Amino acid sequence: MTELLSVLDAMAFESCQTLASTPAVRRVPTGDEQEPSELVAVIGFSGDLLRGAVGLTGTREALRATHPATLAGETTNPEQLDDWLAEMVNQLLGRFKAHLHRRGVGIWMSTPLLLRGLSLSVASSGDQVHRYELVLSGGHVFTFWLDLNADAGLTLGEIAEGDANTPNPGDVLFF
Amino acid sequence: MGPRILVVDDSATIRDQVRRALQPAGFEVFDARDGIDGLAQLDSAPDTALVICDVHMPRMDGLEMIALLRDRGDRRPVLMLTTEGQPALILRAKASGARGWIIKPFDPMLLVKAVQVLSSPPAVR
Repeated sequence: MTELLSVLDAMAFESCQTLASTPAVRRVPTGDEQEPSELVAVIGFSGDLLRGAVGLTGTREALRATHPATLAGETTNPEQLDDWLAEMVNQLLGRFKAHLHRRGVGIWMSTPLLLRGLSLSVASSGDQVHRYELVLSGGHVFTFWLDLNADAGLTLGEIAEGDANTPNPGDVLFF
Repeated sequence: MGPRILVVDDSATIRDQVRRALQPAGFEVFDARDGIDGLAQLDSAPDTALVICDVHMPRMDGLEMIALLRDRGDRRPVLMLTTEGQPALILRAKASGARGWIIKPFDPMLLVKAVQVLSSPPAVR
């Protein structure tokens, strides 16, 4: 893996860690088989020199068990579970985007879309596709992947002082 | 029932989370799925005290919605709730008339405090 891809991989890994709130994230080695899913949430992104997509899968059981409504003692319906998967992938890409921004790279995100199928999985493709397993509360596993296409001219800047002050998840700003 | 709050977000999960945080604190919460729906809701509920709004949404995003509200002379406070953290975007929202910005995921207690501050009438000295 090139140094650039290594840094991008580290950004993605850290994004997963902050979503999980625990360090229960594992890089899935290239070539490892992925458990097929019936539901995948995908978001595309693009910038001047970087583009790609991220995706997140999880079982219905995992989605139900980790849904905020379930954690609040309420029941959920299938539409809520779909939406929860979409919201999680949105937050994951949002964190990745924040990391990129701190290094001077901007990307534009689409809104999440859900893919339904009988057996959906991501092909492992060398340096282009990075996969991570996130273990959320109750031991429920989700798989996140990042499919990257970086132009040869892409460079990551040092974290500028201003960008170091970019707000973090949970921050509240008043104007 | 306390002040009426509109939450505008294409994510039902977020709309539910905001409702779950604010209702126990005495707020009346109703919601919209995007900026177009949000504008329609505000037109039919002039007593809305505060809008909580996502940035990226289908049909009309949050910044477009704020700009249209201000063009209409609507000065109700808007609090952005989003995964976005780019300073340029935050400045743009501030220039458009937003009063605050929260990065998802939010702390329910901080959300309640922010809403209490922004939905309260200004002190008169």
